[in-house]
Amino acid sequence: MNNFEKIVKAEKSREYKIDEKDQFTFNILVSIQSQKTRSTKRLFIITATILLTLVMLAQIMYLQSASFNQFAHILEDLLARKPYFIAIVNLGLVAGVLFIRRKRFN
Amino acid sequence: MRDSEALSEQSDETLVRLTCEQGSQFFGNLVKRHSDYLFGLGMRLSCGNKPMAEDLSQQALIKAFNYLTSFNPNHKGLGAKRSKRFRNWLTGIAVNCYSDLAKAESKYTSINSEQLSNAEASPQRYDELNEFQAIIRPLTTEERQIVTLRFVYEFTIEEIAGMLTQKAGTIKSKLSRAIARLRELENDETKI
Repeated sequence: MNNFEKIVKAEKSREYKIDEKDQFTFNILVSIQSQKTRSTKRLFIITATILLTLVMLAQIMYLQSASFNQFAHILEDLLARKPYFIAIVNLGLVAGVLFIRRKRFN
Repeated sequence: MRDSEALSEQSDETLVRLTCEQGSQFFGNLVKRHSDYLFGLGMRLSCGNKPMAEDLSQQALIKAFNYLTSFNPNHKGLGAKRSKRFRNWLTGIAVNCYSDLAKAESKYTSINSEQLSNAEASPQRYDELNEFQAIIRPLTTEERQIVTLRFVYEFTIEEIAGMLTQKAGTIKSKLSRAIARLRELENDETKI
């Protein structure tokens, strides 16, 4: 293994330098920044999805039992006046969130 | 200008603290300081695959930034020298990144084996490898990692075990197997 030791010794003294270090550093910092933006967007989308789900759940609960006080009254009015409009808005919101998620993460 | 000079003189620990407290602008100094080291590690582990070594150093540094708050300079597993603890922590991240990259690359086995046969056929391509890279090339990814970390970077068995999240005994046996394989290859070469 004497030969191996010599080779290892030579390898230890060998220096490797990355090409265009400034550009490399810049690229890494840009990646880090874009990662941050991505995580903010992700947080926004997750919050929007949760809120939307809550609204949908509230509507379903109201439709099942009419004991949902204030929120129920508002919905009741809207449903009585424009039921199709509400259904379309809800579907639009779900489709919107799904579209953004697909665009962003795929 | 003076500010950047002063920053470049700061210790790794100070720069890590500044990055965690004030933002990513301080991380640039750490990148400049350790990118050559990580690139060298990548070149050795990947046997001179330059694009892979560049990918490795980039991925390791981005991962390090994401987990920077978990860096603990008082951790005993990071070595005795305090000044080298951040570098040792980075090495652990880079070694694991290399395993992931090697796994991802193994998906393209057909292309690799073709390239390998071309490389062996053409002496010009083989000359690009230095002696160390040529010697460790026949070893498995893990054996290459262990041999490089043990002999070139002089990490202890316990430190390597910590980096690869394996038991020290396992690393010892893998190292002795790798050495035996290297001996075998050396004997084959002398016979030829």
